[in-house]
Amino acid sequence: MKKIAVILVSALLIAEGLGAILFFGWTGKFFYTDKTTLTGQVQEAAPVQKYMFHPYVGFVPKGAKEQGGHRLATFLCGEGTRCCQAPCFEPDALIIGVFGDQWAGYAAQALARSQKLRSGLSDQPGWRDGKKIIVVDASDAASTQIQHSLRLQFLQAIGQRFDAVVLASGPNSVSVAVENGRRSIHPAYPSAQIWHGLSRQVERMNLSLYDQPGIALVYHQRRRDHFEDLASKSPIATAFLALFPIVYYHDAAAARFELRHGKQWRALSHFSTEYRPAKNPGFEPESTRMTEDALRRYGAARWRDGVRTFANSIPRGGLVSFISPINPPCAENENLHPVPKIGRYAQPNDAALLHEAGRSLPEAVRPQSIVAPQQNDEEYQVKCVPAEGFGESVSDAVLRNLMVERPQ
Amino acid sequence: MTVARGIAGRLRTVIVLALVNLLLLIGLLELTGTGLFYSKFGGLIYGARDSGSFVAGVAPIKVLDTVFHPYAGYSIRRSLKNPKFPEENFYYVNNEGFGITWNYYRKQGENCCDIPVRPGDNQYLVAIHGGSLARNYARYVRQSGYLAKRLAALPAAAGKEIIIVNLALSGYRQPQQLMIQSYMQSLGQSFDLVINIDGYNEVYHGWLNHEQGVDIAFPAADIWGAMHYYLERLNMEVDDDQGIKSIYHLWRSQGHNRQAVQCRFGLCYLYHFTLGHYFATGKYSNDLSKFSKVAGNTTHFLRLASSPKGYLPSATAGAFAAEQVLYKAIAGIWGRSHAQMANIVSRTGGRYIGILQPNLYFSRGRKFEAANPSAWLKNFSRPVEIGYPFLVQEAERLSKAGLPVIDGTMALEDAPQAARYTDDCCHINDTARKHLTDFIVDKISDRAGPK
Repeated sequence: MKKIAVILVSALLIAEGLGAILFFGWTGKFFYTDKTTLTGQVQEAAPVQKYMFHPYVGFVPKGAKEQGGHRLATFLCGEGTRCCQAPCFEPDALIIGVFGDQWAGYAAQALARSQKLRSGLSDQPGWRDGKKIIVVDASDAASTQIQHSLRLQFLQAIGQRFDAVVLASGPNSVSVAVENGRRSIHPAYPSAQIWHGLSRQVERMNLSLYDQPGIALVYHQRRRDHFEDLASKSPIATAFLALFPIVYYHDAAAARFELRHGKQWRALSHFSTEYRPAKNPGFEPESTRMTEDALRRYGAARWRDGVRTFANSIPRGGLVSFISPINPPCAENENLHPVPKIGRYAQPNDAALLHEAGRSLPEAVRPQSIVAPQQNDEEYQVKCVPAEGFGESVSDAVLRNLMVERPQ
Repeated sequence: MTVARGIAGRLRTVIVLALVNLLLLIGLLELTGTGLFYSKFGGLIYGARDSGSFVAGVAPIKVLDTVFHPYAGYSIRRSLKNPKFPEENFYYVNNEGFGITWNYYRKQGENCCDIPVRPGDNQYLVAIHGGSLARNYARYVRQSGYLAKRLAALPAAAGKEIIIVNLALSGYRQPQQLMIQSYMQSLGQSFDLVINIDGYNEVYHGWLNHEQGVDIAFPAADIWGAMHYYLERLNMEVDDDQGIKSIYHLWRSQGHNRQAVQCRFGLCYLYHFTLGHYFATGKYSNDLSKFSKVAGNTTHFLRLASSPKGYLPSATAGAFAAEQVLYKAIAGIWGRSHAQMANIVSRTGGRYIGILQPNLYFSRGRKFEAANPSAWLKNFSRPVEIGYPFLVQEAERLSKAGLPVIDGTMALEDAPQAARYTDDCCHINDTARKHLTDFIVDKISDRAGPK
């Protein structure tokens, strides 16, 4: 009996040691102190998990769901305190909608804290001093002009009214067109890094609709996840050994599947992504050849048409819009805005491209000049925050452009 | 020797007995299997497989025909040409995911209908928005040329070639039409005339969305919602495995069912039928039920169960329980979407007309009968009976404010007798479509604008 016990214990110890060695070999970490790194790696590997699909604007940050009743915007009252939900029914409040990229986010924060805006209201006809101000931050750092326009449409359709609307956009529309075009994804669609990345994540195991290997692959993927989870929580390294045959099986199944069915799978995707330029007679020549230069011009043209659609969606006179500066490569910026780096496709001459496109817009909807940090603005380069004066400049522009006409 | 003979004899008896019982069991099971087959298919299993009566394992559509679209919720899968459908129902899908009937596509030639369209000076571009009624209407006006004939009387369209762009699709409901129009204009596409025929999907699918916990302003829960719900059952990798289990067991069940109809004998049929049934009811249903409980926490799709508090200033939480409040909120979204569409179309020089579609269950005098009356029809009729009055009110309000949104619920009142609804939901025949065309063009002519 004793001998059997000794054999069993020594076998377990050997297995435990082997498990710990293999874990070290796989992850480079010590199992008993770092076992959570395994699942941690899995979770961190997919930044697109920070987003969710939205039926009309492509995607929204996942936090949207936790806000309960989220309608694509955060409502800021007083000194930036969150309040209300869309549609926000506050008949006596001045409601300022702020749409666009991360510069719109800066503008929303500045407006919510602006004393100038508060005091300036007393000079405005119809707006008495002390009126409650609500800033609707509907910005999204990773979105393009088409998404901003549809966001505005959705908010208004569900009943949100605005007394003034700020729009900051431009560079994303160009960068995303280039990024998407390079991946053969529609250049007018949302950022492929997020929308398409999210769709691939949701679909990557969605192989089962027509074939047995697809089902088996998904099933064993789930088993692998289960054991991986178990191993990461187990106090003994032996449990980690359970991963290996399952991982092996999964990888083998995956390879077999890709070899046999990968092409069909891509053809059967549930997401509309692939871009096919229109071929009908009279089609604009700029998008028939998707060179990088053509994509940039396509992006700028869609930004221009998007701004026009955006402006046409609100009563005349209530719009403040400006072209966002192209962000410098500021390290802190990535911490402030941990979104996929869609700006990496931006080029300095995109600004000229956007200004040129904007010039063809009617005067009433043409983007205005706002005091915004430039590429060589030292404060922005270092601190990654807009220069002093930005908030005041936006407040002034809003005060000049309050809507006098109410939407139907 | 005698003992050995005795044992051998007993053994023979036992073996014979066992064989007889086995044969009896097999016979019984065979009989049961044959009976099951008979009860299901009304014929004998023997020879059925070779007779060509069954086509096992051939699903007509193996994937959903719709795909997720980032701005419209969903659109049609490109180049869907499914041989299951008769040729007139083949769908060619253009580069932006909108359908064109096969006959029209074949007549017009490849790439006839891509977007954007840049009309020449002698062309007049008409977009048609809405749900399935509008989609069928777009098909009708393209094929018949009747809308073109009537529009020729308008000064702005006189002498021009009328080009119809279909932007309608089954199940579309506001604000989807608004989103699509905005997207089109953001692509640089403008239209001379935009016709939007809707209303039914807004109330029917609005009610369904509310029932299924999907925001009333989101696309139809039983289309868009069903698409993502199905897709995600395969993909709940992070927190839960019930989704994939349910698909796995469903697949096992379907596999056995397919094999069952391939059987030549009742025993084989019984075996596969039993396992198919076991996986379907014992496993699949159970997994699906568990999955439903966790799906809300792990989904990749924003669904947002509607809260009346968010839609109506005076509503309190849970007030959607009163149906009037729900339909008032739906009508509000519908009306505002129309107003916004009118704004963005007219400001780019186009004309817009929104029509509240007529419906079988909202009679303005003339009675149209349901084709197959049953208790279930209440699901179709109730949202219309309660919701339509709010839509009518909204249309009247917008019309008084000068916006081109027309209550079309009486559009078929004076139509010829041959005009009728073709089903128990909402669709109409060609005679009714012709009459609806007259109604629409008359309303356009009545209003000021670039005629």
